[in-house]
Amino acid sequence: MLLDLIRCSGVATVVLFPGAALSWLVDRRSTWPQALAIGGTTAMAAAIVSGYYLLLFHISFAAFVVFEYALLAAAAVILRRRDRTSEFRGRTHSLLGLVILFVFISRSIPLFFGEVPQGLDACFHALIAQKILLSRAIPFDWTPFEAVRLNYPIGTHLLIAETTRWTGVPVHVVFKTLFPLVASLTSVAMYVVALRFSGSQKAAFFSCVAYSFIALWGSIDYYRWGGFPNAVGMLLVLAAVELVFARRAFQLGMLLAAVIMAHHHSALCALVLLLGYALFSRLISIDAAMYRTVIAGFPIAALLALGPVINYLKSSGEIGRASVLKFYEPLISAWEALRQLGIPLVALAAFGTALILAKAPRRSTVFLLFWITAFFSIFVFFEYVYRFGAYFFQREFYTAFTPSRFCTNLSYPLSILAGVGLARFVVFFHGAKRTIATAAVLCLSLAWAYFPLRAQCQPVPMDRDSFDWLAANAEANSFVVAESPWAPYFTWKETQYTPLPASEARNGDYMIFKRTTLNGDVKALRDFSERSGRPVYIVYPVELESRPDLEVFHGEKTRILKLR
Amino acid sequence: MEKKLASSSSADKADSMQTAFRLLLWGLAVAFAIALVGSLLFLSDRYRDFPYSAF
Repeated sequence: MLLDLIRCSGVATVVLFPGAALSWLVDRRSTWPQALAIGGTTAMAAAIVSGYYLLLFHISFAAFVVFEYALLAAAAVILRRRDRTSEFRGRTHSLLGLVILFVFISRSIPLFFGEVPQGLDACFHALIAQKILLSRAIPFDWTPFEAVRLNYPIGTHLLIAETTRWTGVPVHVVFKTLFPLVASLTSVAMYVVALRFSGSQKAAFFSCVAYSFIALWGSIDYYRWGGFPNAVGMLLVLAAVELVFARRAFQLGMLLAAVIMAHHHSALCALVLLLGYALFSRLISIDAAMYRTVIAGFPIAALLALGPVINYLKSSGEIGRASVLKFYEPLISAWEALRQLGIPLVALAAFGTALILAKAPRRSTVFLLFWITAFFSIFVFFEYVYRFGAYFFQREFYTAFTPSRFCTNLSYPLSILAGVGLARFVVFFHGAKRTIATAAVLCLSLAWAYFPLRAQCQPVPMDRDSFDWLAANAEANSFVVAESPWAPYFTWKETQYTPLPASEARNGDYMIFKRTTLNGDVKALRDFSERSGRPVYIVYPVELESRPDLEVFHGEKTRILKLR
Repeated sequence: MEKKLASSSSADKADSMQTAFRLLLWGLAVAFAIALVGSLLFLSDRYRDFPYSAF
């Protein structure tokens, strides 16, 4: 596992490094965190956008990497004599480096407990990436598992597929090994954006600490449910916020295009945040320059992401069969949201908000408050207003647009404000006491992070032997019944349940028939086998009563029965 | 005259910022109130056994 982690992180670094180095060379005032966060993230965005079109036209992804390094070499020759000036440097950056190292290590530890990543979402992300790897083309459907269109953005999956192609590490392992790198990059980006808002290195440093070790949803929690595209999408949004304030429209357009190609929900968040704030600031007449940058950035993004956008438009007719507008999940009460975000984070953010409210409002603080109000209001609208409206009119309790994700993404602005609160607490002390206070904050944050990280240190129950036997021995048209959502990925056969995201047409009659009628009912499965002429295999826990007449394989945890 | 104009524009901007702040704080307060009412309603007997669908 350690070797896989090094290989995958190494390939990702090879792809991201030219972006960070270019940013360092071009912007004479940039510091290493700015170069890494903005340059590295822009390289990731460029890899997603270019990767999509290279895959579409069947050109090797290596072309993009060669282009990156050629550009870097040219920039190094042209800009080698420029002097550097930077107003931010010193001990904070050394401490920041230490925090980033802690982030990488802490996010890596859970990867060593079990072969497959945690979370149901990881299963369908692995399916998409494996489809790209096998076909060397953009997948437009979910065959051989389901005969429905693929609506989910594939931006992050193509990076996973390419990493597998370069390293030979299996897709499901690559998927989990990229979490620490994205988490580390997001922590640096958090520092950079918080520095832009607060203008204080201390506050920015503590915002980074708050995001890295105090925030649960939207940070430590990503690995638990397999939210890799969400983590990448929000990293891109975070870098886009910095670029809006730096007035770089083209770079902003590239990042927004990558968000569209990587994650629908993050794209929706970017639209609400950036376009929403641009219109709001225009209405209140506070920020005309930002309005122009955002208005220029979105058409550039639409142009760069034209291919996927056309695909999304084509599949918009399927929205009724997907779970976008009819999403069944338990209601998240206000206190549950508070608990999941992390009570210390929200308390510190409330303190930080009180501190900024005590001062005269600035553009950056208005933006921050808009960010929180917009995400929280949308969460409240879909979690309560829409849900109770649906109950009132249809007597069903569903919601839309997965509102918990808006709450998840709230952790980013809350961390910025929590950093302001923590910095005020630390500057209350002087001399050696301040150093002790800083160390205490770091230690307490790490102690808080220990518990959710420890909960992730457990293997996902699965019998790999049975799946490998089915992949090698079962007929190509077999139908597999298994409890594990990893069955389609490892057997590469149609199963009674394919883990599909909410954006897919997963509520069709055939899929409901499979999930209900064919879910373990032997008589129904026999009928299905006879009618379709397809062999049916049932992956069956060893603890249950045996059927020696049907058994074809006996694994450690499961046996396989074949209905002939 | 120019100085006067600049100071008046800066005052206008500060006013706009205050308006934006007030609007956003009101929005946040209303959202909190709805979240609290929604959460309490959820705890009431009427919605305790809400009809979930399996899929």
